[in-house]
Amino acid sequence: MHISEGVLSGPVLLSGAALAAAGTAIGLKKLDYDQIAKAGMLSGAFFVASLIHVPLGPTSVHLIMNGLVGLLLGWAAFPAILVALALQAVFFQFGGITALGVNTVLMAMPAVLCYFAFSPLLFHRRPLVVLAAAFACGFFSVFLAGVIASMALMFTEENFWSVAAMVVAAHIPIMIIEGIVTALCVVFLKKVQPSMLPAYSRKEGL
Amino acid sequence: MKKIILRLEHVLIVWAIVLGVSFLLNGNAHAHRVNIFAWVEGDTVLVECKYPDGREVYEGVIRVLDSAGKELLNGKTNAKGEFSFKVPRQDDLTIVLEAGMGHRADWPLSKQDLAPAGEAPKPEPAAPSEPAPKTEAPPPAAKESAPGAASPPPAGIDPAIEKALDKKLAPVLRMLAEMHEQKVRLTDVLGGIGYIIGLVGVAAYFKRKT
Repeated sequence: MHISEGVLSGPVLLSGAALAAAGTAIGLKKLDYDQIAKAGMLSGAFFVASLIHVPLGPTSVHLIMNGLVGLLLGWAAFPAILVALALQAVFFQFGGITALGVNTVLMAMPAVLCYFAFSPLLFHRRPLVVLAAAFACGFFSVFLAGVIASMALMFTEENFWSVAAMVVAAHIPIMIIEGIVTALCVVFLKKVQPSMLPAYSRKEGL
Repeated sequence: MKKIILRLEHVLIVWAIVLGVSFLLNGNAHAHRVNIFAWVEGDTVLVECKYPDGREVYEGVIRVLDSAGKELLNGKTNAKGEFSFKVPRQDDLTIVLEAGMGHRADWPLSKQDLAPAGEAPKPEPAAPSEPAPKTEAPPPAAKESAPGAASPPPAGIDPAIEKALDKKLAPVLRMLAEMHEQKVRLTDVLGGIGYIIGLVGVAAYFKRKT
């Protein structure tokens, strides 16, 4: 759901860029040395995820992975997603340079929100809660991205509710797929690399 | 130490799987881009809209704007991603495709492209005013053709030629349209990943513990 160039009006683009800059600044500040490699890997994963398409009936959808990026990086999701989106814009002409700020916000903002909402649950005692949290993280990160995209489009297209309903409805399959993929990733990481997950150190401290 | 190496391996394996899957599916990559291509056939403009993976844009909204940016007409693409309309006006047109949810592309069509056979500037009556053949004894063939050229060209020849040309050129234009489409290429993917690795290096340099 990248927004192309020439769709949005100037003020929307500018405020998107400002928000993205602020988020990236916070992200870079919070990004400590040990997290850099992780951020780079997730940025790379996000960069290629849009190319992975999942056949679905007559059409196909592609992964977004902003939920996983957010869950593992927190605020550092902003710079990671900004870099990946910039490269996608340059190499694949997805989105576009002027729309980069808006696209960064609509991908990274839900990622950060989902990080704060769901990362505390990742080391819950009951595995079902963990699975549900990971699924919800993938699901809602796409859902919120759709909501933010509609808000951005609201100023140029028709009314908010019809656009939002359309965008969200079109992305319901990918929300479910993202939820499943995120849940699988979390389960896998818990087994092989739990230190990659947030709140791990908190749990260690207990 | 051994433990760390083992963990690095896991990470690399995950990464390799992600990359591998993406390359397998690369050919079908569905992307955030739409391609539009338009050409003129007679007095009709044909528009073809596709996603970068070759899928047609179904029900994409087409808007035709004139040079002042005023909307002249609009419509929706059919199941094959095509749309056609009669040339509404002799002007520099811009054909805009909106495939929904922020997908957008446009294609300019200049006045010259539009000039239909019927309204094309009438061929000047060059034949009569042409300087007479300088050779003193023109070959009989030329002599025979001269009266034909002198008489006004039969009506309908020009449109006929235009039509034939359009027909012949259609596949070429189609080929151009396909070449114009930008697809996701492996080199781009690898280049992007290279950039990210490089940026990780830069970040690590600036954040290093001194």
